[in-house]
Amino acid sequence: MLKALFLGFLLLSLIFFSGCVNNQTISKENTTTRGNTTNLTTEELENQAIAEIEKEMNHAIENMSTEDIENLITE
Amino acid sequence: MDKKQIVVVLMFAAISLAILSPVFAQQQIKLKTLMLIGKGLATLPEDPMDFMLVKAGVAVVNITTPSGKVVERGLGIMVLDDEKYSIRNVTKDEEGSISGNLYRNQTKKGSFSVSSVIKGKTEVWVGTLTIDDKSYHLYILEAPRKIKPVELKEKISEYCRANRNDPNCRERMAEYCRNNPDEQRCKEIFRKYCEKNLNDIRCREYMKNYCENHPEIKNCRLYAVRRSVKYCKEHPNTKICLKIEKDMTEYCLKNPNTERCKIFCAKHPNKCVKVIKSLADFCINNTDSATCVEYCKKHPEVCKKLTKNIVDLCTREPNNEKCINYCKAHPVACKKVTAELASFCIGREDNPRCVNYCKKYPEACKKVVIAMDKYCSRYPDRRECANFCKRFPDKCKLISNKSGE
Repeated sequence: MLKALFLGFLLLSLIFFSGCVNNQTISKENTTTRGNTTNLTTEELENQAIAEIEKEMNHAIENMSTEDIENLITE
Repeated sequence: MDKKQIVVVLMFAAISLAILSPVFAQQQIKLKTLMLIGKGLATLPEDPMDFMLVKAGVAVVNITTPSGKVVERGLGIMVLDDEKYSIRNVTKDEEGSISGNLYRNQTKKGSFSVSSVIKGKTEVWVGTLTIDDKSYHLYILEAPRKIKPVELKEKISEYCRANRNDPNCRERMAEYCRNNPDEQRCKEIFRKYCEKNLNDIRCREYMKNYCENHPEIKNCRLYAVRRSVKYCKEHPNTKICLKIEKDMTEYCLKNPNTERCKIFCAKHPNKCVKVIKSLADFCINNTDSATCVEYCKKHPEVCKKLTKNIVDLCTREPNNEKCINYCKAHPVACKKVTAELASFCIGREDNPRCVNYCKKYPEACKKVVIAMDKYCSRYPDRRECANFCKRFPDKCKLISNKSGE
């Protein structure tokens, strides 16, 4: 059982570090093309944030009823 | 290693990944303030029949960079018919306006600028949109967006960190409110948080519903004013802004000493030359006024200025025999009603919030409008005269001398 746990830990560490190495590779590539590592990574994160906002927007707009528009016209 | 062990290893890895991955994801992007979500139209001024359907979402986002630094960005998305644009470089102000640039494939394609205005219960964002060198009028109707329990937890936690002395902020309050979002204390904390964070659509949604039931609360009476400042600065003669100004004037005639009214009255001195009182309050000091003669004959006890001892007694024991008549006309002094509701209901007998109160205390609801110069010449030391006499010292002094006081 201990051996299994140890192997599990090893596997998890491998996944974690491979992620870090992969990320570093992307950053290095970006540095060569754009010359600014932090900015580009932030840009990617910004795009993710925009995708999150889009999800929020679509969800909230779906919940908008014609009643809201009627209220606006009649008030 | 046997099959069983392999299964254990794989399960352990899968569970760990499932638990850890969203934690990492959440740490990187956090939607801090949802500034605007809605849909509407963009029309060409020269041909209003040429229009585009618009959907928009704008937020302040906290982004954790790989180096661990947290940066704040104003970002969003705008969909014009079927074309998607990302919004960057967002700026906002406390007067209810937002602007930003529109990008497509990292190239700037245009910009927008909108101001909010309250129409009834609905917030509308109006302004201009420039896209591909064409300028449009932009109208966006705000979508309702309630706070979710998990978000409430965050907001409660943020408020309580900054207001440790608030009696509602107890230990583990954030977690408690996540599980009991409708509990009174949680609502109260969130309301206080929202009063200072009206840039967030979730707060506006909460305050709208709260103010529907509590129109007398100061922040509710000024809600439309606060949310329409920029719009009404630019379009003061629109029907909605004239109504907002009328409401503001009425509020300031009843509450001339609030900070907002000091600013308002300094800007519009001609609008603040009167003061509104309840008939009962006015007649205590003006028994000889034509308005009060009949009233004071009918209710002599109510028009008498009580000694401090009796006032203290009536505050403590409003049902005491000596206080019954006085408390009927002066429910605020006897703590039977909040000062905010009493002030709101003066002259508003038909308002749903006031109907019962005004039936019970009719004289406290009757409105008397008094010219400020006459009133302040008699009572220059009154709180409500402080600003007036500062602005018009001669008026106060002149009439005061004339009346021989």
